[in-house]
Order: sequence, then structure tokens, then C-alpha cells
Amino acid sequence: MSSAFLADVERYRRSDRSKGCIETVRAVVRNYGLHALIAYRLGRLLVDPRRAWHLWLFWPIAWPAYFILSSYVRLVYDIRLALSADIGPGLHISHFGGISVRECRLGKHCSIAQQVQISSEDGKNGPDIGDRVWIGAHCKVEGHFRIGSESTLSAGAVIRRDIPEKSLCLGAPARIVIPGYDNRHLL
Amino acid sequence: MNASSSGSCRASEVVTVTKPGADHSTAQISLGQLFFDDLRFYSSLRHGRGPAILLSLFATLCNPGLWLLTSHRLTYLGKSTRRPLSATWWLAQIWLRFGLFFSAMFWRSDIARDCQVAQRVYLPNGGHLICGAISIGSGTIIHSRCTFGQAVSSRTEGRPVIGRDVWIGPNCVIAGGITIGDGATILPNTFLTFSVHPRTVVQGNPGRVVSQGFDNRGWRQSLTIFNAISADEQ
Repeated sequence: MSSAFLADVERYRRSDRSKGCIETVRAVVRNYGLHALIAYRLGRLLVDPRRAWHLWLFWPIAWPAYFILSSYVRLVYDIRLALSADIGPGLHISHFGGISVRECRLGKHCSIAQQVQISSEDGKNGPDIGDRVWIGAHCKVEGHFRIGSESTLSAGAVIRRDIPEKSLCLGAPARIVIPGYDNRHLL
Repeated sequence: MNASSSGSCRASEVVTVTKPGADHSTAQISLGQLFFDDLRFYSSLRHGRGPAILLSLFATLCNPGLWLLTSHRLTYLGKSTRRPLSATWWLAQIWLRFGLFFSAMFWRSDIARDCQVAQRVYLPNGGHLICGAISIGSGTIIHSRCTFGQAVSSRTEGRPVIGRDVWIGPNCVIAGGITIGDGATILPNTFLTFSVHPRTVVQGNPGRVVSQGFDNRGWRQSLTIFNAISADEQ
């Protein structure tokens, strides 16, 4: 969990171009995406007893802390990262408001924006999203779809089918505009 | 939605095209004057002129969009001017520190500090506005869950300029260095990345021009018309 969170902080440091210790602390204090990720990583640590079984000692403190933190993030920033989502290390949330991520698998170093909704239709099988995927604002991924690594979902895209790797898709319902698109400059 | 019903364009109603980067700066107008103007505009939008003035005033003051607009005006004043002798300016300096947090907490909105919002602009009551536009002209009505900002990896670099008397529906994305002409109508769920001529109706994702020469004056008179549209669709 700590390594995943450190990867998140590293993403934010890179996007803010901050160097050094004090600027890192400033990045953690200022970025609301990191607040949401603190709550999410803490909750994931608590619900998975196999990875850190000795942590039940801290449950009387940690569960109320998780409850307060997640409520704060949900009410103030409206970022809902449910514990049923499996989010890889290095997530970047670029704006607040209307974000709901649940029942899905997000790979490493993904990037999401405001009003993004990633969920399943039936409550069980969610989308399977690869590594280094850039998901734009107002994007909707609802259902059991596989989205390949390094693909780019443009702002406002509504995904209704599987997306291969390294493709830029756009529109509602989404269609692939540029196959083999390089999104390294976005992340 | 019967968008092309009143397509006639009389000479008296022709409005001039706003230039890109148009100056809608309100830095020279006092905050009290601006707030009074906004109050009158919001009151006319939502309630009209009724006999119960106090009740209407109270209902208008309960409007979160009005306070979001006022908060942004304070931020803009603190960012764009330098008046160390004015108490309002010092209040704005404090608000520059905490304004983002408050606008996130109360209105779920984030408006760029240097965004020039003209007088008589309606900001959404439900919040969720991420606004990075250069300027917003007067008479514009913006509904909730809208995003104005830079387009990543597009031909149009920069931030959008929104003209006067534009009607922007909910859940719209306006991205790139584009100009939206005066009196344009942007229907709900539009994703717009190209410049729009005056009095054009745009719809869809990706956006396309539905009709031209549409007079959206009736749509801007009150906010209840949108409630009627959404009730029909659902």
C-alpha cells in the first residue's frame, strides 16, 4: 500500500514539477486527488487482511479514520473511489467533481479527470483497464469491457465495446479515431 | 427539441461578433455594484417581478450560483488589481488563499482566477463547473456539470472564449482555443472543439452544427424551460 501511495505522490510531483521535501509535502496538502487516494489506500489496506494481518491492532483507530477521510473526500470533492475498485499504483486525478470509480480494475499510472464514471452494469464484472491509460473528462466506462494499455479515452467518450492497445477513441458511443496513438505526453 | 423553429433573423436583432480574447474585465467596477446587478439578474431569471419582494429576495439569496459568482468576482478582483488602500482588496487577498477550498466545498466548482466573467451571467445552481475559459460574455446561461478548458493534443491550442447571450446546457465539454459566437446555443451533452458562429445550435458528441440563426432569447428568459425539456426526454 505504501509503495502504491508513494507512486501516486510521485505522479503528482511530476505533474506539479516540484522538487525537494517541502514541495512534496505541499503537493500532498494541496492536491485533492491525493486526499482521495490517501483514504482509498487506507481502506484497501484495512479490507485486505492477508496483506497486513497484524493491522487489526489498529482497527479501532483506522476504521474511524477511514470513515472520516472518505466522507470528507466524498462530500467536499465528490470523488468516490470505492473499495471494490482495484486501482494500481500511480493514479492521477486532475480535477474534482462527479468522479465515481467502482468494481473495476485500473492498471498502473492511469490518469482520470472530472465527471469520470467507471463501473459495472450488474455490480460484479467491471471494466478491465490496462496500464498508462489516459481517461478524459466526462468519460463513461460502464460494463465488462477490456481497455488495452496506453490507450487514450478522449473527453466525453462513452465506451460501449473493447478498446485495443494504444488507440485514441472519441465520441458517444466511442469509436477509434487514431490507432497506434502515443499518449506519453499526456501522462 | 424544436431548435430551428424560429430561425428568422431581423436586422434589429443582429448582434456583433465578439472578437477573440474580448475584454469582459470587471476589475474597474465595484464589487457592490456587481453584486447588485447579479442579484437583479438572478431575481428576474428565477422569479420574475412579483409582489412578494422580500420573499423573492430571500429565494434569490439562497441561490448557490449567485454566491459562486460573487466568490469568483472577489478572486478576480484580488488577482487582477492592486489597491492596498481598499478593504475589499485585502478581503480578496485572503479569499485568494481559501477560495479554491470554499468553492470546492460549497459549490463543487473550480473557476480559473483570471477568467473574465461579465455582468449578468448565470452560473449553475447545482455546481460542478470546471471553468478555464478566458472570458464569458454577458447574458450567458451555464448549466451544471460543464467543463471549459484546454484541449489536450488538438489543433486548437489555448482556452475558449465564450461570447454574449450563449445558452450552455448541462454536461457540456468545451475544449480548445475556440470562440463561441454571440447567441449560440449548446445543447446538453455536447463535446465541442471547434469555433461556432453566432446564433448557431450545436449538439452531439463529437459536436455538430444542428441549425443556424436560432434565437435563444426565450430559452434565456427563465430556467424552467430546461426542466420541461428533461421531463419530456425521460
